[in-house]
Amino acid sequence: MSSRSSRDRRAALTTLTYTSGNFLPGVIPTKLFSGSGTTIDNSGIVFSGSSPMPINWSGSSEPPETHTITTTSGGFIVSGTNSSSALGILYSASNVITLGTLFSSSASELQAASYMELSEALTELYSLDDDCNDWKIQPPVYNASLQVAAALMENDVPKPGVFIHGRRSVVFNWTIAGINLYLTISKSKLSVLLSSPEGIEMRTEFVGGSGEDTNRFFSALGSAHLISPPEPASSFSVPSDK
Amino acid sequence: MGKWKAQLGRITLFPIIPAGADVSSAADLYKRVWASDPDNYQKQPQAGLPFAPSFAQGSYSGLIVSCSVHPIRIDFSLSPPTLGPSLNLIEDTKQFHEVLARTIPSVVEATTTTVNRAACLAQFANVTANYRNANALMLKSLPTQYALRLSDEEDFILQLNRPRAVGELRMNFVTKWSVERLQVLSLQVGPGVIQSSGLNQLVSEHIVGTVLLDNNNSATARLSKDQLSFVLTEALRGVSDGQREAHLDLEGF
Repeated sequence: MSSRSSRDRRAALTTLTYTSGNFLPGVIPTKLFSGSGTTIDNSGIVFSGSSPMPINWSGSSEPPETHTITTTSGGFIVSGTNSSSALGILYSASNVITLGTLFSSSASELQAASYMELSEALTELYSLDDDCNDWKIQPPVYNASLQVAAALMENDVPKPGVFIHGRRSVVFNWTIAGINLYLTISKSKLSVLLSSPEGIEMRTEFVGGSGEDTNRFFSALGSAHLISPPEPASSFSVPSDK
Repeated sequence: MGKWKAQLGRITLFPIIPAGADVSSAADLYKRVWASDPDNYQKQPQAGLPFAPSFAQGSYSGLIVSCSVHPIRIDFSLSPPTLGPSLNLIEDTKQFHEVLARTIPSVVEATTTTVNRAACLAQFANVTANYRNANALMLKSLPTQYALRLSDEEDFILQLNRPRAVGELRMNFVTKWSVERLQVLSLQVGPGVIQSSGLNQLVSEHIVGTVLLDNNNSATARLSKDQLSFVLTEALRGVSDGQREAHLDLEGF
């Protein structure tokens, strides 16, 4: 990306420095509940030249010459400044690439790509015109559904299908051994429902702030071998009575 | 052997899930915590990576400080100023501790998100000439009861958690010892620049012994402001205790 003015392009040389190695606490397994190591383990690097909007810089008539490197792998981002010795440093995790790491990395990339679709679907639901009042999800519901989706991705849960009942909730669903799993996300509540052709098998809910650690639930889902619904159902749909 | 220096400090808040409340942008939080505008800000990208964080970064008290806001975590990080194309570390550990300690009440004050976990993390590093020296460094720092023997092995890692109740909360006190081979890649960027350096000029390698202290509370219903302050203060105290037990002899801790 390049949005610098010609004046900026004449700026002094900048050295970008990248540091690789087992530098960050990102190597703490993400499912280790005792650590605060990165929970953003789906790797991906955004290198955005000078593109980040320098907001409200002060103390200088010149806008900063920025070179920003963003990584969600280590959850760590550093950029240069407007001095000639400006540096950007990227700290990435793990200096030993094991076979397992390679496989999980590749799986994570696939997972991230599929979750991008989910993220876009949620954003689309949130950004609908106001005249789509019955379909447009409320901001708190959007925020909560993003949280849940991010936690699911974090725990390697396959991308769910998504649909809505109305403005106040978003539903994620999967199948598992002929049973359907539905997570209904509202502003501060997560309802879990399992149903089979015979009827409802189980129903429970987590209320934000109740003390129940929903991360443990998401972690358990990660090993439940859930299956994403068939592709046509994975895009959001609106109930026919709306 | 060289002196231990700070590599990274971080305060992390974990919001309750689901919590539908609006989350401040990284720029807003940055301004509230460090009372100045960031030098760089990137809003949450709508394309590219799913759930990518918004990010704000600047300098504060001689350190690079940054805030990133992700749907399931909020990080406030301290890192070394970038002084040259080398491995940059924070020399002044007293200053590092002071900034970390000063940041805690600001974070507690600034946060409007309901959180159920919080963490304070610090990583320290000591650059050595080779793996043998780095391993010797580790042996000096490791708890003696494990009676480990190391000579010229590579990529050593040992991590322990010593959880305990602190007040009414259960807290984790994680320590990780590791020997790292860090590569620094330096690239000159500018109009008309063709960098003719060979690989050795582009890439430098450093063998570094590191000790990471990552202290946090186990998930609870919700942390009040007082509890959040308590957890982060205790976690930072745990960093001080941890570095002392690991014989890092850091000034200011």
